[in-house]
Order: sequence, then C-alpha cells, then structure tokens
Amino acid sequence: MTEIKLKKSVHHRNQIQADLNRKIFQEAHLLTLNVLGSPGSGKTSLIEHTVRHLASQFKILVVEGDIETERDADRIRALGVDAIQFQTHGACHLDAMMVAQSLENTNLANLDLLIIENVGNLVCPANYDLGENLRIVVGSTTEGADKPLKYPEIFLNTAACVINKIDLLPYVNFNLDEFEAGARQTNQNLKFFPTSCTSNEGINQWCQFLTDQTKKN
Amino acid sequence: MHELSIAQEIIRIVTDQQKQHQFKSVEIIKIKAGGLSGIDPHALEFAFSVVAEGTCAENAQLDIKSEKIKSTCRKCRHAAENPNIFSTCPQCHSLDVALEASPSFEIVALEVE
Repeated sequence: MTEIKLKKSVHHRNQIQADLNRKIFQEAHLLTLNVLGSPGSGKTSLIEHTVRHLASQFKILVVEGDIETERDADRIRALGVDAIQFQTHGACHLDAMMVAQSLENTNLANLDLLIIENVGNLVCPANYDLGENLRIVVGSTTEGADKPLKYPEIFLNTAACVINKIDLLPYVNFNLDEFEAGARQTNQNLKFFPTSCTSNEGINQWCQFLTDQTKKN
Repeated sequence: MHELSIAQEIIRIVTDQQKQHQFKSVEIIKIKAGGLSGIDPHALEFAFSVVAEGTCAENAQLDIKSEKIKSTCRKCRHAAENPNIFSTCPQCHSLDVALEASPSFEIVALEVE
C-alpha cells in the first residue's frame, strides 16, 4: 500500500469560486446578500418588502434558490424587479458554482444590490460561502426561541439576523430576548432586526441598515 | 444533508488523483475535520457508500479525525476545550470568548494500491 499526501479541502473548489465571485461583485461595486433561514420564516416576503422600499434608490437583482419551481422569482418579478430562479433539483443549499452559473448572462455593472435567497434550511447553507458581502439569517417568532441554540452554526459568520413575524408575538410563545441571547452565544457581533412583513414594523430600520451597507461598498 | 455534496467532492478529488498517480484502488481516505466542519461522519459514510460505487474508491474506508473546538476567554484568559460550538467560558461564564476552530474538512492522505 502506498500513501499519497494531499491536504485538499472538500470546500476548496467552492472556496475558489466564492473568492472569484466576491472579486467580481467588488469590481461591480455591488452589495451582495446571502439570505438564509428555515422554509417559511419569511425570506421571500422580507425580500419583497426590501425591494419595494429600495427599488427607487438602487438597481436590484434577486437570485432565488429553491429545490423546485419558479414561484419565488415570479413573486419578485411581479414587483417590477429582475429575478433569476435557480432550481437545485434536490440539493439542500446553494454553492458558489450555482451562483456563478445563475449570473452567467447578467451584466452586474449596472447593479447596486444583489440579493441571493438560499434554499430554506438552517443546516447545510452554513458551510457554503457564495462570495457574498453579508450573510443574513431570517428567523421568525413561529419557529421558537430555541432555534439559535439548536442550529448555532448558521449564526457564525452572519452579519445580521432578522426576526420576522413579530406581529404574531401576542399569539405565540416566543421570547425575543431568549432568541437574541441564544444567537449571541455563537456570534457576539450579530445585529438584530425584529420585523413584520404584515404590519411593516421594523422594515424601515432593516432597509436603513442595507442602505448604510451599500455606502460602504 | 449536504454530506452527499461532500461525498461527491471527495470522489472528484480522489479520481483526479487517480489520473495523476495511476493507482488501482483506494483503501483508506484520511480526513481531518475541523471543529466547526458541521459534517456528520455517519451521514457522510452513508452518502459516500452510494457515490463511491463503481469508482476506484468503492471499497475505501473513511478515516475521519475530528479536531476539538478550543476557546480562550477574553475576560479571564482561561483556555479550554469546548465540547460544542457554544462559547461560554467554563471558568467565569463570560460570553466574550474567542473560538479557535476551523470549518475545514480536508483530505490529508490516501492509502492506495
């Protein structure tokens, strides 16, 4: 038996493409978000509200990652904003190659903000850098306040956490402080944005945060 | 769940090596898993057995060494090995703790025939 020494990361191919994506986004002066969260936490609703608020200020493109269907991209297009649907046909996360493939025929130079909605999942997308500037986690009051303790890794390299559906706080057994404390156990610097896509509460603060971030680019 | 993608990537790396080194089969794949790799070895073994079928790594065994998560408290400077990702200092219970753990999942060597 012969030993071949290697030192090859299984994320190597993804990392090379992610770094290349990041370079391309930087050259286009583009703010790129990777939006993560459970199925049903309100990722698409939040993106709808975000583009409604910011479309007059910024040229936005949304990439929707789903296992199947064009439904999410159609929701964004209905608002007059460009959207690309990427169907993973089974894969539980987007990777950097999929993002590059989705953007193959897009001229990024005219854009200010690229929002990538990942496949709804609190586990697998955590391990895949897409080349984004900011990783955003969308949680919600209906999921339970213990989610950050159960799925800690998703919060590790995350810049901001939106806690959605706060209009339901009177009806669900959800403790906002407990959620935030749990998420801070893995990431001390996490910023929190409690929002409701029904009552619009918190949406202005969230959009202001994004506006401030685009200025840094 | 993404263990399937990881298993496919392992096969891709191994078959690349086969083209380079012209070996017949892989017996052992030695892997170093960082403390924050987030990969479940059992799920990976199952996924690997499926994707390795018909390749030179069909009968290969995955030898996974998992690294511990280390932490240093920024308040009391206590250094510890954490059983999991939660970075509370075991001595002063401060949350202000620097984690030393890698998300890497790396093939370090192949034993081949």
